[in-house]
Amino acid sequence: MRSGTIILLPVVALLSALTLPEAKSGIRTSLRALFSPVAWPAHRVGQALSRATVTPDESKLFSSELGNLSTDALIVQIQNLNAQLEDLKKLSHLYTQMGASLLQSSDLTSVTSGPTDQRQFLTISTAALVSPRAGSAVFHPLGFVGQVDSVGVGAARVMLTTDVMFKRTGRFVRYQARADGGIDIVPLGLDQPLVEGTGKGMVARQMAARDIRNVLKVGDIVELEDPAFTLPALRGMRLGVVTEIDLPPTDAEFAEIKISPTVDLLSIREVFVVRGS
Amino acid sequence: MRLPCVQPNSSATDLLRLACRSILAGLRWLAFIILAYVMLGLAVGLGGVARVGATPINLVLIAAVFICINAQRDPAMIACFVLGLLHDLVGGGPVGMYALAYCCVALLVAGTERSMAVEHPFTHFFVTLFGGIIVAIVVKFIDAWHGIGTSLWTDLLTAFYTAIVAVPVLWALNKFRKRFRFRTSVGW
Repeated sequence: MRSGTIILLPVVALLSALTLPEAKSGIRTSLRALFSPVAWPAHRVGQALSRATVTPDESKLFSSELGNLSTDALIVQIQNLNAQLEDLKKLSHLYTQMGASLLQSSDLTSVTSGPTDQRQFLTISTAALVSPRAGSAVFHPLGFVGQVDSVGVGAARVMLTTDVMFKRTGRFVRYQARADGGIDIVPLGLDQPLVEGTGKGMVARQMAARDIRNVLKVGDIVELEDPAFTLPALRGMRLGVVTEIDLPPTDAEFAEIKISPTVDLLSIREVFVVRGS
Repeated sequence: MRLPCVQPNSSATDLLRLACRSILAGLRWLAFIILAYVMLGLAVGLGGVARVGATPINLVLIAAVFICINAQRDPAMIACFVLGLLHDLVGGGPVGMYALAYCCVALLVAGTERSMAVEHPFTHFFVTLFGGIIVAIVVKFIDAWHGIGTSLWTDLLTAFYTAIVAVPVLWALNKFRKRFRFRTSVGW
């Protein structure tokens, strides 16, 4: 019996690991709710501790290391930061002024837990949401966050842009300063990249090296431009910033572009969820 | 609990009953359930916080190591299987992945309490590190099958950071060691 137990349980575990898929989100959400008497206070204490110990570092909005960048890239970065500032001003103005399509059709909710070991998911509370459903876009004033993957009791799971299952089309743009101090958002005229999550960031593959050589630079912005999202205000929302361009030696091959999200997905605490899909 | 001896004329039912009793007697299961509940609750609650950079810390592994270094192999195996299964259901990944990983840890670590100082911090650090490496290898193996997209390097870093965190946590857990009524291999 002893040796039987020793062999039986690992064999059962091995067979289930090889054959069974991931647990359904409903089961996971219910189980998580079961642990909430311990999880909730632990989460609050952890959040308070992380707030107390981590000083906000604005440069982390763009995760590339400034020290490793060339002068050109630094100029692009500074323009981007300026543009972001301008954009936030516009955003703030829009928030106060419009109650426009995006804000009218979205609800603010809190993030209850961060990404897990294996997958890049957020768990959000659905208490404040009017009609949460799978596929709804989730965003933050600083950029696009992801999509609702599944809705459970009191909570929903959001697949982040950095998850390996995330795939959306976008477009490359660059912010250029005008003489009057304003900022122009200039599309780079490249093919629409298919942006895929990698678990740590995002990547755009299958980009013809011929087109992007001497056009795309580190620090350029990738915006959301996906036909799946019918709400016009969602188009043009920031997906990420180009952090690395892996160019092949010849123009006949494809380049790989690494993209870092503009939103710090690990410390995000509140998000907007668009009603409907 | 005093266990009956196996007699030459014992039936299969008697042997089964004896085996079940020996497994049940190897550990106080109520204490284990509380430990599992607290550690999984902490893992759920601190999911986005208990990490070094982007590397998470595996708190459930610490509970599994605590059971493995103190209990006999059979109860440790069952406890690790349950812990792993709950970890799979609460976290992501295929169901059974962590159950297999923790079972492997139990298989290799449990029952060796006579050969190591179970209360020494170095034991806690190295056994947790070893367990973390086993978990990383198993997760990578299952990942190769399913294509989840995990990083072996991240899992190994998780093992290291978890081993560091394990030292104070296991020191604290050792204060409650008597509550678990572990039966060692030395004798009943």
